[in-house]
Amino acid sequence: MELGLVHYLILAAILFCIGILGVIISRNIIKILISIEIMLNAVNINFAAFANFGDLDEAKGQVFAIFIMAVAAAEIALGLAILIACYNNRHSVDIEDYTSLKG
Amino acid sequence: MEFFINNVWIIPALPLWSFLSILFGRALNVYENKYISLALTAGSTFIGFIFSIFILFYCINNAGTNHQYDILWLDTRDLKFSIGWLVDNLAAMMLVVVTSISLLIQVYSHGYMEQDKGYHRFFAYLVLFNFSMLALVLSTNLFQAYIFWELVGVSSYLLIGFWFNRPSAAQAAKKAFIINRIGDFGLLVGILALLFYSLNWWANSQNTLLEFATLGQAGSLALVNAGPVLFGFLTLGLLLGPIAKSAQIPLHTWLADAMEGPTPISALIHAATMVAAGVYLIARLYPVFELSPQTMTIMAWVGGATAFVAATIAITQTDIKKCLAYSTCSQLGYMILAMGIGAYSAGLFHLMTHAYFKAMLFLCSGAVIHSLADQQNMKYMGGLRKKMPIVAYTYLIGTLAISGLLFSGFWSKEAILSSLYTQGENLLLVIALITAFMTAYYMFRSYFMTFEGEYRGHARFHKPSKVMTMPLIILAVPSAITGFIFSGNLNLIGIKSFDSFVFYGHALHEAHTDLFLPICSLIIALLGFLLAGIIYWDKLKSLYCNCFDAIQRYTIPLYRLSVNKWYFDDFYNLLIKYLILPISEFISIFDKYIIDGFVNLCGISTLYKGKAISLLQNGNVQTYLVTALLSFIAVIILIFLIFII
Repeated sequence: MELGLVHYLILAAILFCIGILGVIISRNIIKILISIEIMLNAVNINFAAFANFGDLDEAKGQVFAIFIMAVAAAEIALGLAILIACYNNRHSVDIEDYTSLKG
Repeated sequence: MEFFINNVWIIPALPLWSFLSILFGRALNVYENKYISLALTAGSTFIGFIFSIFILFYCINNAGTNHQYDILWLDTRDLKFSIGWLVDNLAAMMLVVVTSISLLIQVYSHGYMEQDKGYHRFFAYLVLFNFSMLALVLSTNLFQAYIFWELVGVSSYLLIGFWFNRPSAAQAAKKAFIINRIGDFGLLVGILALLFYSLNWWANSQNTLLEFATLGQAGSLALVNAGPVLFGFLTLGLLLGPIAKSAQIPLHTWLADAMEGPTPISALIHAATMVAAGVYLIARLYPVFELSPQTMTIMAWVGGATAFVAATIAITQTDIKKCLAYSTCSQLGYMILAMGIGAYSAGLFHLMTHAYFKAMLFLCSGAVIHSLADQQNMKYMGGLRKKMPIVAYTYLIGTLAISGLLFSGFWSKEAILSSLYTQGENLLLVIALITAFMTAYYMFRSYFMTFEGEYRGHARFHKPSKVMTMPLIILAVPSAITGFIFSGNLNLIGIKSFDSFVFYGHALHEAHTDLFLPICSLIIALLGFLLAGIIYWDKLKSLYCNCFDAIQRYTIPLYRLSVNKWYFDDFYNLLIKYLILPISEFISIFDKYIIDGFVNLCGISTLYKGKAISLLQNGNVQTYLVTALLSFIAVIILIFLIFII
């Protein structure tokens, strides 16, 4: 059996679903951040797969994937910084303790 | 001459401009100097007066002038409302009357109101009234007339309540406005019904909707469509407007209370011009009224009854302004009576002469009141002829005129009486003659009480200023001579009689060969004068003191009836208290619990729906995410269902 585009896409979809599930069901904020990283990586796989099968000359997809990794690194750094600030206030990493944003 | 006719719109436009200038005067520095307000007001009226004079001469020289100009204002597909201006003989006459009296009264007001804090406000209202009245006179159609009719009512309301911190003035203003609303309601219903029944005619013809010029043809179609009974009610509705505005029974009670306003206002609005607007509107709607003989009869009897009742009330009034107010009521009754029996010209002739002498009488009373530091009760006056001769003699001229002794009132009243005679309305003729007797009596009574005898008051007297006496002297001239000039006796030197100038249908040339009636009315007026002299002239008083008491004892019930104004106000108060208020309270239950209940239900249900939905927003990020995800999936499924299956 030869690996085609579809197989990559299925893998990316599975990873994305795992990521969403992780965001929804986990209580620990660090776990949520990790799940978000998984979702981003699922998107990266999509980029790389499409680039490999569709756009052989310019490799735009790979470049985009590298950009996303850089942005994700920055984002996770920011997220962790916010988390630390929050932790200093409430001494908790449980998402259910952070419900003050409501009407 | 053509210039003045073509630019007649300037006459009402200038007062409007002055009104706006004074209204926004704070920004324009009008309030820094009283003369600016005066100049704006009197200047705009003066230009209007010049225009009116030229227009009047044009109309006299060109018989049958009928200059109409319409601007399309509202155009729905079926109804085309216009505003514009119409100049014919009637309008030309009214223009001169309104502008000349307004001008003099504005000058007089400067003297009367100089010390008042609301000087600029007063002039703003005054010029607003001027604008609405002139625009009413120039209206081409009934809708435009109705608009300005209401505006005239509003400015009257504002001016009656000018001293609004006096409770009585505020009450009087409210009363005048509400009673006029009753009349205007009838008028509006009448207009709408007339429009409804003649809509086809207007749609087929190219005429302006409800224009006065062709109202007769539309009216006869409405008569066919509505049937005589319904048409009678329609015209009665139309009549209700003039009845309220011209203070006729049963809606006359507001006029005496309206005397709470400043005296120049009583002279201008509640004696000379606005109350005459009712008669003017009847004249304009004459083609419609004429189609319903019952309405004409009712009109005549309403006028006759008002003339009589108001005169009886005026006999016992001690407030000089109230006395004049009831005499206005009574004279307006004469005009309506004349209109009702078909004496169109006579009614309008009396309107014109009455406007001048009644304005002058009121201004005289204003001068007296002003000089005696706001004393209005005639019991505390007397002997003022020596102190203010100009005012006394002009008042005497006015008294002679209104009593029908020689001056202009004689000619116009005589025209009405002779019309009654030729129409064979004997009962009304008798009523009119009795009223003439009472008119002479109460007017001379007021003259004697105010100007003759000894001074009975305590207030310190100070002389009226020139700016107040000059308008009196000027007004005395038309009060004395207009009647004679337009009576038709000057035909030889080219001045035509009034009834060949303002007439309805075809001009009537009645030769007054029968001297019986004029002499009769003169004798009756003289009798009234003598009676007043016997009772109120102190020089004669000593002769009859004993028998006077006896007479008084027998007439006490009549006296009570008169001094309580025939119990009209008490009757209305009872009616409102025991009939109208319970009904309206009952109706208010429906309003409170059903209409308000429905509205409140809407509000409360929205509130609780909002609260229910706000439960979803619990602050938990993961719930939001699930909601978003599920919604997204739902949208995808929906799109899938719609586009793929």
